[in-house]
Amino acid sequence: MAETTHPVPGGPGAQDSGDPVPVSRARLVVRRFLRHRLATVSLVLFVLLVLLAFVGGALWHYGYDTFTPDNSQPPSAAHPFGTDATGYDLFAQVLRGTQRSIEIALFVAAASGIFGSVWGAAAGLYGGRVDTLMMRVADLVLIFPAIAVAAVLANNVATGGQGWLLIGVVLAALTWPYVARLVRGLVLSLREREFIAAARTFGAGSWRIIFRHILPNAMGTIVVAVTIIVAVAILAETALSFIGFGVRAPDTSLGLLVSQNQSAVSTRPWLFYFPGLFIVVIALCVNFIGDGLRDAFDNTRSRSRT
Amino acid sequence: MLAYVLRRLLHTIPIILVGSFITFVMVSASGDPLGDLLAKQPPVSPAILAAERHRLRLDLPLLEQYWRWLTGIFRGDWGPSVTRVDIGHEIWPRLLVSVRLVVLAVLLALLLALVVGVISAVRQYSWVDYLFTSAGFLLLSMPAFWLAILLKQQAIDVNEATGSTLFYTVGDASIPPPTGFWPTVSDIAGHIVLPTIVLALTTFAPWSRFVRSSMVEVQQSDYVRLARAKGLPRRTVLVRHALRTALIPLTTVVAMDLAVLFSGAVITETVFQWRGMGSFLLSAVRDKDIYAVMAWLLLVSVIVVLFNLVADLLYAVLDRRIRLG
Repeated sequence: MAETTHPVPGGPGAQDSGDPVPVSRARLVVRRFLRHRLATVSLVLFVLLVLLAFVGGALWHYGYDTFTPDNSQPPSAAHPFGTDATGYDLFAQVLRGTQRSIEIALFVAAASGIFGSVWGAAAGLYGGRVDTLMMRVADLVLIFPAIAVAAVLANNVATGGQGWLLIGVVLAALTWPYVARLVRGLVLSLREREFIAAARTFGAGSWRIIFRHILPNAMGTIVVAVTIIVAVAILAETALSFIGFGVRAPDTSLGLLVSQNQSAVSTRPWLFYFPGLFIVVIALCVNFIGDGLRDAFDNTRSRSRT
Repeated sequence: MLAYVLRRLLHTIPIILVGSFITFVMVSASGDPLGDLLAKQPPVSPAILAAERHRLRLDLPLLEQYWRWLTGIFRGDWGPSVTRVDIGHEIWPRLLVSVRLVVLAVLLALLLALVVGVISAVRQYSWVDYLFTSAGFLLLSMPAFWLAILLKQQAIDVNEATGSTLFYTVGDASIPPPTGFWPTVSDIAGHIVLPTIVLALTTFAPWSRFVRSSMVEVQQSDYVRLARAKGLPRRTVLVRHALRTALIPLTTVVAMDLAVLFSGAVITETVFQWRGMGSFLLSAVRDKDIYAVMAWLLLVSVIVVLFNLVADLLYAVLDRRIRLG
C-alpha cells in the first residue's frame, strides 16, 4: 500500500484546492514549469540546439574535419560562421563541439546524479558510523580543486574515439558529492516521517525503502541538482579543453575552439565569438531550465512570480 | 573553542593524508615522467636513464616513494622535479602571486554580492531585481576564459585608442620589476585589475542569490518587524538587524567555494599569462612532474581546509546561538 501512494510534501491538490479534479503531481509540475516563461523558452531553445548539433551536424555539407579551399573567410552564405586559417568550416566545427559538450554534460549529470543519490541516500539511511565515513569520502573529493584533479586524470586520456567518455567519467567523479550531500540531507529529514516508519513496519528492507520511498520523494531536488550539474559540466569541459586537458585535436570541442582561436579575436573575430557564444547560450538555457524546475517542484514557494 | 579547533584539525589530518595518497597514486599512474627522455633522438644512454630514474625515485616501490615524499615534507624537502628546479624555491613566490589574486577577487565578489543581493531583496520583483537576476544568470553561464579574453581584448583596444598603457594585460608584474616600494605596489596593482574583475564576476552570482534569499527571509522575521515597529529608520533596520543575520551563513558559502576559486584562478592566470600557481600546475601536469603536482595539491588543499575551519569559527563568533562541540 505504501508502495503505490507516496505521501508528497504539500500533497497533490493542496496547491489547487479550488480545482475539482485532483491533478497528478507530474502534471502539476509540468503545468508550473510551463508557467515559468523563460524556462519554457530555454527548454525549446535547448532542444533545438541539440537537434541542430546532432541532426544538422550530420546533414551539413562540410564535416568538422573536411578541408575547404577557403581560408580565413568571414561569415558568408557558404560558411555561415566563416572559416579558419586551415580552411575548416567553423559552423561544422561548432556543431561538432556542441555535440561533444552536450554528450559529456548529459553523461556527467546522469552518472553523478545516480551515483550521488544512491550514495547520499545510503549514508542518510544507515546513519551513525557509516554516514560519517561516507560523507568524509564525499568531503575528500570537494577539498581538491576540480581543475587540478581533472587535468591529472584526463592527461593520459587517449585522443579521439572514446576520449570524451573518459572526460565525462572524470567530471562525474568530481561532481557526485554535491548530489550526495543534498540527498543525504533530504533523507535525514524524510526518514523520520511516518510513511517510512510504516514501510519499515511492513518489513521493507533498507534498499527497498531507499528506492521505493525515499528517492521518489527526493526526485524534485535531485532533478534540479542534476540540471545545475549539466551547466557546471559544460563549463568544466570547455575549461578543461581550453587548458589542453579535455577534448583534443583532431576531435574538437567548444572550449578547444576558443583556445585555438584566442589570438584571432581582433583579426578574425568570428573564430572567437561563435564558439564562445554557443557555450554561453547552452549554459544559460540549462540554468534557466534548472530555475524553472526548482520553481515547479517547490511546493512551499508561493505563486508570486507568475 | 581551543579543544574544538584541535579536534577539527585532528579530523582533517587523515582526510589530507588519504587524499594525498590517492592523488599520489593517480599522478604516478598518469604516465612515465621519463617519456620525453625515452623518446629523444639520438637515444639517451641507458646509464643516464637509470640515473634519472634513480633521481626521481622511480626505482622504488610506490609505497616507499609516497613515504619518502611524506616524510620529506616535514623536512622541507618537496621531492625531485623532472625539470630539475627546486620545487620549494619555485612554488612559494607563485603561491603569493595567486593568493593575492584569490583574496582580492573574494573581497570584490563579496562586495558585489552584498550590494546586488541587498538591493534585489529590498526591491524584490522590481525591474532592478530582474536586471540583477538576468545579469547573474548570464555571468553564471559565462566561461571564465571567454570573459577573460573578451576583457583583455577590450583593454588592448582602449590602450591602442589612447596610445598609452592604461591596462596591463600580460603577466603579474613588469619584467624587470620597478625599483622602490611604491612603484612595485602600483605595478602589481595595475596588473591585478583585470584578472580580479574576471574572477570576481564569474564567482559572485551564486553568492548574491544567497544574500538575496536570506535577506528576503530575514526581513519577514519577527524581530525585524519588531525593530520596524519600534520606529527605527528603515536603513538602520536593514544594516544593523537584517544584514548582520543574513551575512552569517555567507561565510560558509564562501569557504566552500574556495576550491572552485582556485580552479578559476588557474584559468584566469592562463589567459593573462601569469607566473602563478596556474602555470606551475599546468606545466607540472604536462611534464608528469609528480612531486610538483603533489606540492600544488597539498598547498591548495591545506589552504582550503584551514579556510573552512576559520569560516566555522567565524560562524560561531558571529552567531552566539551556535555552540561548537
